[in-house]
Amino acid sequence: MLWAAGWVLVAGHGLGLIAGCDGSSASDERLVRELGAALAALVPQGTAPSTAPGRTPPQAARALVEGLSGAEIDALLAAPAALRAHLQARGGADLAAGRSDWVEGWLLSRTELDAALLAESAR
Amino acid sequence: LIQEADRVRRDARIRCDVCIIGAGAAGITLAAELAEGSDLSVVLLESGGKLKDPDTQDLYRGELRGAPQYPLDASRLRFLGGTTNHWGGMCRPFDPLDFRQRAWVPHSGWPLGREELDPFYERAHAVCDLGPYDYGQDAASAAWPGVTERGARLAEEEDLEIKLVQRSKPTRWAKKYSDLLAGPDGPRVILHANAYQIVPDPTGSRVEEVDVRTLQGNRFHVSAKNYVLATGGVENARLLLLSDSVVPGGLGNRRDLVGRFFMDHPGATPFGVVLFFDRAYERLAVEEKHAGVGVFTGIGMSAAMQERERLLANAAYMYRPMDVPTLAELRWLEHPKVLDPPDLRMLEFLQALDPGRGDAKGSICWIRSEQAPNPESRVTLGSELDALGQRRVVLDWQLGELSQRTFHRAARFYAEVIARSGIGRMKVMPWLLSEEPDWWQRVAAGWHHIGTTRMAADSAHGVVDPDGRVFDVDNLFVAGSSVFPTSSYINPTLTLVALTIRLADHLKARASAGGVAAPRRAPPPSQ
Repeated sequence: MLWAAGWVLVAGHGLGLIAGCDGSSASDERLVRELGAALAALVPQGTAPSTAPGRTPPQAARALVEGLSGAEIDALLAAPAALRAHLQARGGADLAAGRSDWVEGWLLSRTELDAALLAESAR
Repeated sequence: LIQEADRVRRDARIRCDVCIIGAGAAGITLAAELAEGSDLSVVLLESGGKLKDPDTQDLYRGELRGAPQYPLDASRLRFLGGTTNHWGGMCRPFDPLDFRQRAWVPHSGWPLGREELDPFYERAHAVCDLGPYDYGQDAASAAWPGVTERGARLAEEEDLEIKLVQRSKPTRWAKKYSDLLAGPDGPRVILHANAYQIVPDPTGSRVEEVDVRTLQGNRFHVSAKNYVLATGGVENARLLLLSDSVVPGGLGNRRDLVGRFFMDHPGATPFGVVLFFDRAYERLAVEEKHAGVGVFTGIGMSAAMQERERLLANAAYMYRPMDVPTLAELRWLEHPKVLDPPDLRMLEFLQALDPGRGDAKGSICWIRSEQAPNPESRVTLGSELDALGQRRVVLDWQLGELSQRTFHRAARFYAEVIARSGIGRMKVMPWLLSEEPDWWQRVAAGWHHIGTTRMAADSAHGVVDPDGRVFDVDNLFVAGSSVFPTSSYINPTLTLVALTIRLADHLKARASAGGVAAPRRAPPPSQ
């Protein structure tokens, strides 16, 4: 798992994955903040569904970018279209694999739930 | 030839080869089939007239218990043509699995298979004014390719079956067969003629006559070589139970099976709301006309999934989609709005993540399910009397845990496959995602009365044999959905018509073998 390597902020280049880093809370916070802001820009205020209790923003953020390189994450943060495409692909894979949950009668993918959580956390 | 019962001479005895009681889909189909290629004289008794009248309709009134049912004097029509006068026309044969004995469905299994009924289904298609008899997956899939990539993906789901349905015009039997019924070569139709009792010989093994009475006080008798009860899924049982002059408990009821195993098609409307992000709805939720016959599709579970997960047969359908704002304003019967403000926010959220979902259409999804046969779900006689002095029915509709489990699993399954394919998302009604103890109060009946004189291979397990003959009564047959041992999920009319055609063939063969044939002439109306 790439996440075992941890995240650090690479100044001036957004969030990049650097092998060997410690996965500190500071890097988690930055990831949550940056990704949350990008998602909040996509998702109109007041539309994100409530999500299951117990899931934290850092968990959601890590799950959303799991397996991506630092450059790929930077690309997502830089372009809303790329972020949407990523969410769609990952959300589809979630549904195919049964990684989903029910919210107010709707079946949502784990990715959608994480995106909702992060978008709200950034507001 | 059509005449009024009050013009028959009081205490007259009308003789014929076959006396059919009830002029609905089964009774008229039987009369029409017997008029082809046989010389059998037929008397067709109809309780009502040519039009609905409140006094006759009131004979249907009964008491309801258990899960919610529609009033018995509203769900059925008691005049020439019977309940086909408000038939919706949905047709599809039962699936092969529906006929099988299934270990997970108590009391399941027909004494005949789908392959035995196929030729009769094909003939029933002509009766019901349908298109080609082809409901296979090839035919269903033929409606799908090229719709959209996501639609094709849905159709390829391993456990999903596309259920092709044909919709009849719908056929109105009284109108379709009006020339035959009124003409010299058809049956002798007697209107406003109520079968009061079916009277057997002292041994109870052979019917000798039907005691017929009218609301105006006339009475007469019909004596036939064979009798066919075709008064619907509730009245067939009622008339057998009322016919207790010789056999205590009613004719054909030595084993206390008459009236038991009542089934309907438990359903839910709405079952969910589907928001389509894709034009697959053009196949899934829009009925097309082919040569005057409506064709549409539902989605159901494969036989393998039913068997693996021990579920009942069921299918979900979608109403014609509409713009989401329009749907959001819609109120469905006693339900609040089908889409609430949080649902609209959910749509906005989903669209924000994928702009390709921008042109959403909304459709109400409904489901019909098979009901597991249950001996405690039954028709009995109550204490209240109707205008003829006959005991009214008590209908106690009992659903079981298998129905609840099927509903819950179906809701999740259909929502999952719709989401997985990408064609849209389905909002499932909240009660389907919880374990409400009174879930059965949420279920709607399907206006289909089934199973009260069930067919079986032997008299220990049913009321009629595979030919539709009442066990232990040599010359009494039952036609209609009351003989179905299981109900499937689809409307019963096509299947009951197929079984009736099969019964007609049997009666003709029986007449040929037993020498009961007589000149096919309606007895003169002067009797």
